[in-house]
Amino acid sequence: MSTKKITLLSSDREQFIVDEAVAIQSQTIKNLIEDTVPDEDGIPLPVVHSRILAKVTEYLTKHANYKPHNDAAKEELKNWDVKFLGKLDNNTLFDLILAANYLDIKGLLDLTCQAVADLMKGMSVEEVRKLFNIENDFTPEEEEAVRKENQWAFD
Amino acid sequence: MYFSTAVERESLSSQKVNYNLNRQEDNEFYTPILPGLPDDVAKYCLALVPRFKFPVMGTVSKRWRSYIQSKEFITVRKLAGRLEEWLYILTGDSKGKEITGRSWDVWITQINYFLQCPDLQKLALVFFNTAIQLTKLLTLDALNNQQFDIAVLKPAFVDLGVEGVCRFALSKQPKFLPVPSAPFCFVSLVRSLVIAKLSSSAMPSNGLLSLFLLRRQQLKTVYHRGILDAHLIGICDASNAGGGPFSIAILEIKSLSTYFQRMESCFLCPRLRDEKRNKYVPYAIPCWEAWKGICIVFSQSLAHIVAVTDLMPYLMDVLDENLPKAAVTTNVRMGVTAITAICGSVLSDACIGRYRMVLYSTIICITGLSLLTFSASPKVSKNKSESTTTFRFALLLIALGKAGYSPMLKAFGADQLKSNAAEEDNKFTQRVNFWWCTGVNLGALAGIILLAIVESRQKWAIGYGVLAFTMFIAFWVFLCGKPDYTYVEPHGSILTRASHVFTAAFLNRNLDHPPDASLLYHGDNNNQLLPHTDDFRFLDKAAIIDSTYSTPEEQTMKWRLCTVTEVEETKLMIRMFPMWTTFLIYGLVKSLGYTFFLQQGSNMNRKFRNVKVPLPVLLIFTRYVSGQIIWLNRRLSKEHPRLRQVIDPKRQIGIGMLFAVFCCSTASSVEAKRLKVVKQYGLENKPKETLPISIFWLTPQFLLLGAMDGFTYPGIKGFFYDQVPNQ
Repeated sequence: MSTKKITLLSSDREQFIVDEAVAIQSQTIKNLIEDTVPDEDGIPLPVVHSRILAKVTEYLTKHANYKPHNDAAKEELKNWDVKFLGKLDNNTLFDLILAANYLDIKGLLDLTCQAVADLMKGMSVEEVRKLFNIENDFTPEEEEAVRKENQWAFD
Repeated sequence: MYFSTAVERESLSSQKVNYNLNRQEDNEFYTPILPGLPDDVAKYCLALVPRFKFPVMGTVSKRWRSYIQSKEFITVRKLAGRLEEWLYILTGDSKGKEITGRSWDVWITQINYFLQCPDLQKLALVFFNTAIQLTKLLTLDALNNQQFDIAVLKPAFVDLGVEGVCRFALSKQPKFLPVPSAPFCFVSLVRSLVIAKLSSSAMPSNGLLSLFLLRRQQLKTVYHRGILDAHLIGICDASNAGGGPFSIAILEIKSLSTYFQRMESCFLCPRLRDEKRNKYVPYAIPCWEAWKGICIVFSQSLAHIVAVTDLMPYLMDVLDENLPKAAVTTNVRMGVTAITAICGSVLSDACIGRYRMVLYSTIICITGLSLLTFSASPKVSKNKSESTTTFRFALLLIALGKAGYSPMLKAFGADQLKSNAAEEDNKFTQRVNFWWCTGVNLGALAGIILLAIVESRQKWAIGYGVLAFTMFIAFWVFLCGKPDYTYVEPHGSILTRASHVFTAAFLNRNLDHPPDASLLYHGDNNNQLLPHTDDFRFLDKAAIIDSTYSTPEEQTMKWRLCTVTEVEETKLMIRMFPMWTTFLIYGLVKSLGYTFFLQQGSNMNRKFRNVKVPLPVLLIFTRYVSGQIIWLNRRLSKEHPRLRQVIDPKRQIGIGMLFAVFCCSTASSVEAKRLKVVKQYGLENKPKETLPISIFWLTPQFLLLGAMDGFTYPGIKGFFYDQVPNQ
């Protein structure tokens, strides 16, 4: 692989210069490179804000340059992923999911979705509603019935 | 986007049944699952949550609850690889021999929590076997020695109860053979294999299981069963007494209907002896494959001899036909072959199946060849009119026979290799092509050599006799593989489907297009789906669901409804019409080579040093060049993937057509030269005289013909592989 540079352009017109090998981990960018004539400024990604794109390139750079060969190395990469996610607040996490979905980066999408799932793990119903800003559309009677059904889980 | 497409593809089949219902719900009470995320991603997130949190999730909101209880949720979890985290444990108090107070417990591994399944009173006492299929737990319980229950336990996140019980009477212990991610499960009994189908939620609760007993008379004691490459394999004792020959049943696990069909391929297998029966089942598969491959390829290679049978010299020498008339006969034969080939493939796809098609057409072909031999024998050929009639009839039979087997053999061969192929498609196509090319080229070479010998000695009867005989051997070899073949049942040809689409589109011409293409009828089977496209919109009418019919199935029965896939298939066919004209020209030029080109050489000087060169040697040049080009092409595109993109099938056809132009212009200038020589020596009225011009003047045009064939043939084939859907 050559070290051809690709310029990515975020929604607020900020430029990110990365190696081609890094960028093409995103299926969407790969298709854009193959199918379109590049803009002078770079490949426009109108959905992704520079704040998020910085995160995405951080993830992609790490994963492109780091091909684990043994278990220890895999473990290290996993730890890096955990650290990478640990720094994020919920809004950033959601934006990152949207970006990963748009850019079609399977690894990042899996990682971030798992993070959302993990958020729910230790939470009660009310906490889940509050966290994700979900309206409770059960009537009190319905909710009572549903809770009774699942009594064992609330003990 | 990565995710949405993957899930939609997976879950289409399960969603479609309630499609209209869900849509309405979406429009009226639409709330996002996770505000801020598209639903497909949100659904994926929820699917990653461990199962023990489902009760909590189910209490969050109505939307969450309905999603978690839906089939789609299971599909998404399956895709994410998060399907099972529960362990089912049967517990009971034992008092001596009797077991009382039995119940199923569920151990939720994540939180080390035991959950008791209520309500097992319906079930009997002795528990035999269990299987987990699509998150449902199946248990087999015996009431006594004659009756068994199959119970389905529903471990949905809210209630873990008995979903349905099905009772059937059989002796001895049954056993479940679960099939990964299929809506059914095999139950192996002593005398038969039974299939247990997990019903969809649409069925009434007491019809939860439907059972099918399969050919109990043929499958006696089932000794061993296993699942290999999505095939269920059972080894059974074919005799009542035991110890006799064993039969092996291979069941393709695809859908219930194919399951029934495939039971037909149950066959006796004397090669597996009693003591080996357990060990050798899985390993037997590759051997069968090789055996089948050899059978088919050998018969293919010999059968192809007839394809290169060149009748021109015979027609001219023996029957004293003049050049135009002989050419007409040859081309009529080729035309009949081509047209009946289309009819033949429609017939075999639509009703009689490929195996029988090959069988019947080969018999016809052998009859034709025998008649040909008869007509060419010295006794008969003295009586001209009788000989000519027999000859023409024989030709017709050969044309019909060839039309039947030549397209079918390859498809049939592909069926054989496909059935056990777990590899990806690419490798599979390569394998088919390899066998096919080997067969065809060996056959053609043998055929040409044979013809060359026959022609130079003028012993037509012997030549055709040898052809008939080799054809018979090929037929016999083909029959040898009979017990081991894979049979694909006819599933309707593309032409029947196309006519169905046209009829439905015409009958529905007064219906209005729905606002959204997703409201068209998608059918509910698992077949590969073609996405909807916007051109030829009048054909879309065939897929409009008419609300005056109670169910889409009823509408389909009356030829008024087709699935979108069927409509798209028809559109594809129409789109390819312009390409078909190109194929026509290809056929035309190729047939020129087999008739007029050879004729050009018939009275040229054939001496090479001191040997008289037989005419068909020129065809060897053609074969050789086309074979080399195909080989080179494949080799290059394998080593340089970029080149594969440059030389795509369409360009290959283009290059081939260019060679066709060169070929014809070369041929015309050579012919001009030949006529000049004829005039120069005043031989216009003496067609049997040898011209003082070497036959090798014809070499360039035959080489160019080969080049055309070498590019166009794989091009056309590749084009079809690209364009035409799998069926």
